[in-house]
Amino acid sequence: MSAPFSLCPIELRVNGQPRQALVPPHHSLLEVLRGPFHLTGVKEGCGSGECGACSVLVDGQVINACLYPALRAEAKEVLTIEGLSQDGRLHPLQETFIAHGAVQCGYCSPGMILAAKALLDENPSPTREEVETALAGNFCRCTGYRMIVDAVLDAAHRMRG
Amino acid sequence: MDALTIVGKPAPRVDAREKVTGGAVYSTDVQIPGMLHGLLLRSPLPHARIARLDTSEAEGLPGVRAVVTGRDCSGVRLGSLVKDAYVLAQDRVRFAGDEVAAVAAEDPETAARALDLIRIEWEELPPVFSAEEALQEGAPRIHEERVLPPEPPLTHDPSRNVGVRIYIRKGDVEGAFARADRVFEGRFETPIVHQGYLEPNCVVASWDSHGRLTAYASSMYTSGLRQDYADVFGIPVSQVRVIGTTVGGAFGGKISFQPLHAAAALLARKAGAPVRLANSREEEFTAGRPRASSVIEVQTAVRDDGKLLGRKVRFIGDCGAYTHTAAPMLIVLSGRSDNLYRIGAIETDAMMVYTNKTPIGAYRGYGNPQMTFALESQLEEIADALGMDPAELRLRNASQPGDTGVHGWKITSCGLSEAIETVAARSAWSRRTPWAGTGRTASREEPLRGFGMACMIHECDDRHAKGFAGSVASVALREDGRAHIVTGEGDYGQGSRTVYAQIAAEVLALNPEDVDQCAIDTDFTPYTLGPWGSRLTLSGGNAVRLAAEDARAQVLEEASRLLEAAEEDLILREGHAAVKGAPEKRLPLGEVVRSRMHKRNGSPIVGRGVEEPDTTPLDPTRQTNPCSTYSFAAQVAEVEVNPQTGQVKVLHIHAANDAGTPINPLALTGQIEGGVLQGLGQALFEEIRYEEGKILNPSFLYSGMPLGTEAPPIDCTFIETKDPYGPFGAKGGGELGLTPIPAAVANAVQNACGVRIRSLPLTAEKVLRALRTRRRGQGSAGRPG
Amino acid sequence: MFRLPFEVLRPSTAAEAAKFLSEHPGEAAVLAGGSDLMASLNLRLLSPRFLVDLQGLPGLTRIAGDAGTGLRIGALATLRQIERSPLVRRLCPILAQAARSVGSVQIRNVGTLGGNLCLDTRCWYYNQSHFWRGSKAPCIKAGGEECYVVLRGETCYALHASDTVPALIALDAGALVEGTQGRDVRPVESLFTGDGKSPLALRPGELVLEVQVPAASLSRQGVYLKYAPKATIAFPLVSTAVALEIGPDGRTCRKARVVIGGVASAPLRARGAENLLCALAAGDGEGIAEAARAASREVKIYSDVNAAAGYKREMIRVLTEQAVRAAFRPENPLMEDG
Repeated sequence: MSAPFSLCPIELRVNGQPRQALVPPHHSLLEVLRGPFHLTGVKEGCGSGECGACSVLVDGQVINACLYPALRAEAKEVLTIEGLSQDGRLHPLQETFIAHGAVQCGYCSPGMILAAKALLDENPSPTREEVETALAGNFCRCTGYRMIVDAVLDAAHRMRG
Repeated sequence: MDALTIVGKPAPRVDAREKVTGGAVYSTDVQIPGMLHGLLLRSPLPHARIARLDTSEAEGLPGVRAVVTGRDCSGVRLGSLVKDAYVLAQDRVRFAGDEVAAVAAEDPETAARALDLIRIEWEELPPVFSAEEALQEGAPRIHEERVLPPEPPLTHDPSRNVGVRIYIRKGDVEGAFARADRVFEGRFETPIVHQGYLEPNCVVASWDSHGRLTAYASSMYTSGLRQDYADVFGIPVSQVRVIGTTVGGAFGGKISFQPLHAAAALLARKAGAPVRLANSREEEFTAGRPRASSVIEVQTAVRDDGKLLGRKVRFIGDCGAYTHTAAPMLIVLSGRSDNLYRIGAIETDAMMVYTNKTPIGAYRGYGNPQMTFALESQLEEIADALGMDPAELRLRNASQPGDTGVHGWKITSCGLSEAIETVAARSAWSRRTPWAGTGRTASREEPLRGFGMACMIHECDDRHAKGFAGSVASVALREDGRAHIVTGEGDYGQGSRTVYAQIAAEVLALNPEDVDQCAIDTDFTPYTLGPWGSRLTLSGGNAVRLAAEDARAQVLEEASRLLEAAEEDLILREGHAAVKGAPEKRLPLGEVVRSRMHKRNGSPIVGRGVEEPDTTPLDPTRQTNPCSTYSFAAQVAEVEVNPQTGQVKVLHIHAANDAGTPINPLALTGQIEGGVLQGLGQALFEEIRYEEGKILNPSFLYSGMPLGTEAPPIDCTFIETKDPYGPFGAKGGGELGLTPIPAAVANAVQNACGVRIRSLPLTAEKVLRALRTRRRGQGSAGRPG
Repeated sequence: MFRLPFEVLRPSTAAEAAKFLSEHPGEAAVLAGGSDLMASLNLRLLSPRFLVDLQGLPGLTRIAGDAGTGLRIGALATLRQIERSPLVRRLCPILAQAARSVGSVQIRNVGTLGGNLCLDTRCWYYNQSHFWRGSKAPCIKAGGEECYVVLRGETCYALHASDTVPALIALDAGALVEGTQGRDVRPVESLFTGDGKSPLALRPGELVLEVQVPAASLSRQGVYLKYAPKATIAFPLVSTAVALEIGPDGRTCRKARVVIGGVASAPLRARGAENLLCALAAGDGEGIAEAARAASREVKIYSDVNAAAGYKREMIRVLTEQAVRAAFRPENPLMEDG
């Protein structure tokens, strides 16, 4: 069918790789990541910035991809959950999320882990309360959050070495 | 028996790695070549007749591949026991959100534009929005025709808007009330709350050239979905394949067949292409299947020494526009809580009433949280009125191992008393003083502290129908020595796959990582009853254990031949079959498997497990024992009430849980903690709010579900009873966290500041209003003259 | 939930942006951070043909200043940038406090001060989906004649929900506005009409480029408090910004600002409370309580789905009293680290 809108080219880096796409200007970054880039690890929970399931890092900052105009990502570095482990080696956050039982249904996990990464990149030694505050934009209905906070604190500990 | 090495130890989830790397495929991630995107047109009105429905413009929009309406599925009824619903509205809609039509297009935006082009002329009908109003003479009637009557003991009277009703009487109720020293009465209310699973309901349906339907679904109950698909389309179940994807949370909300499932398949058939249909978050709130609101009137007859003699309950639930799963829920809720304490006389009149609101469904506890809120709130009122410690009152009446409850339920393992003692000991319960009678006055500025307790009982592997009530599994051993479980019991986040891996690994002396599991697929995985009741660990676990034991026997038989030793002299250890006392005489399991397979008349090693409990079909009007066993929990909430704002801060939750001997304490703790936070949300914040039949807060933002900043410390302990029937002594535990919390918190608030809130949630505004009313009351009472 | 198509324009100067916006009234919307705009577009509250993306305009993310000349914050500085800026935290902690109480980290990483300043008012009956609103006659804010909050109400009662604006008003902050006629600085307080339907006193084509906090205000001791049922991702049920100018004795208030947010279509100055606070000394508990009572009485409030008017009023009293007490202390005790 003919699209009733124009398509704009964007170039960006996704998980370390240069990527290009033709994007309708009214699309969100979420639609581009899950659509043409097939990065379905980025989840949609509400589409209105209230659950954080679509959290990704843009130039190191955690954002809700559902509210992020796709064209804004031009020339930016985007990290999704698919880009977190290196050469099949899990990131410490992924390891501690598994070890601490912080994953149940797993739908919040990609966004939760990326929000935690943004925190630890900025603050390698957060307090429990700082972790709770930093993750408060990420909704989880399964765990009750305690195990998630434990996992983040343990990852911080491991990453400090 | 040897000490357990895997069962009972915390184990990380076997499916966690794919979830933390983004590799897990949820229903929302499924993509099939040629897949179209569907959308449902829902009624914006709560009650109306469809005078005209014109889809021609939508059908003409380029990119639109199919439009379906009620005409494409006339004659098809949906509903559990009471078949009063439709796939798509026939001539009338009964709630704002009711499915009217569906479109499939090449992309989601075209589908959305097509919805806008469907023209409908409505004739509005008078609506009714509250169950109590709907029961009144002259109330608008929501269903004109009587549908097939449900089986006894249920009744169904659409002329009075009664979707389904049950009446139960056990023991000498009149006598109990006549003998009582005191009778306590209370009216309790609970609102509609949503399960809040993060992944919305979604299905991808496609038909092959033989007319066979495949559905990829986020489902807790694939066998049920398959049967419902077969019924809706009039095809044999063998012509339906349901593939269970990874499920992004469910809590009961994905257990039933919904119009969405049927509509996707209708569209796919008409378009001749696969169709994906997913709810938006707003649609989840508007047309998901949330927990029923209720009004519960309780009268309890009590002796001065605290003995509970009898109870009368009138339960009026709002089932919304269609009964959906209200009938089985009513059967379950009307009897279950009667078995928590030794009460000899019960009268229950429970009904689910039609209104022009969203139909309700299953949500963690299935009626239990509503009843427990009412009964356990009142119990603490009784204790305080009798001048008795509420823990003591509970202990005096608590069900004990060996009891037969008022409905015939046989209590086998039961750690209720120990749970009560444990939460009292682990919390500062001994510092609790009753609000009344000790002359405490509420500060108007300083936070007020209080303690509240609540207990609960839940069922395991409920036999809710006449047929098969067990579980089927097989465990194969592969040529490389790894085990492979095939079961139809799904994991939607709670961790049953890990529990099954632990059970099989324990029996076969493997590591859980050496146990694989077949993805849920009705073409390969056996029939399942679905997780009605808390049955996956108990029933599903027993089937896996039996299957693994069968496989083990086959291994031993073959190894006995190979190692030239008697079977009873063999053991399995570290992936090997070995001769006891001669550790050098051993063979890797893979070699045993290969030996058995690769010979004339050889066969693979596949163990089969079919378990079926010795129970009787649930019927609360008769003496039945529908479950193999029951789980128990006690909780203490310690709260602080801000007397200036009315805000309730939960300082601590102590939760003692009798889920038998936990198979995976890590996963079970996760179940409890997650349940506690859901319950806490429902105690303090959560409520789906309607106005004129429309939901005002169809969003995470306003529906009150807690974020991490609302989570209190939770002290979760296990009362490790060893259940005689459960696998390795385990029972179900998924409902234990949520159910007691609302009553525990309401009791703690009363204890903190003297106000008894009998309706959920305990919002700050409600608490402050009650505090002020009480202060005013005290003020006038204190005046001379 | 589908956005209608639009084009995105990227002007390179503010004048160019202003010109385009003035030439396309009703057709163009300003894209700052986009978090609130995208949510509104998802609900089809707006259907602009063009989004004018300000991200390319130079210098709009800058935060600069000192105690002598005042603080200047570019309209595109993110809320997260403000909350973490050492300069803002030192010179103007109340603003850092207000910024950090918005939404979640994800929202604050994209949400801007300009966007929060120009945040549209909200209402239970307006901020709903296209589908939801479809069965009701449009409300006043949506261009109709009905108000569902105040029956037979003739104006729109949608609520102003910005966290930063009460703080900025308490600081007598100014806004540098680019218009088709050039630039001028206006008091932030003057940017609000009080009308829920069109809450901003900006003409088409006018753009807020910068927020300026005058040097004189930086010595005020300010506190922002927000009351919402939940701690995160919640709009205020009630909020209070209090800024006190303390005399040379270190304890007597010379000038006070009390601004109430969340309860009306614009932030409200509680002038009666402000007057009562002047010449009041720290520790005068009864005086503070009296001022808080005055604040709770002098603002006009309507009951809505969130809470009854009486409850909101009581929360204004509680919050104001708490905020004033805290503001009297030289070290802002409510300014947490982080």
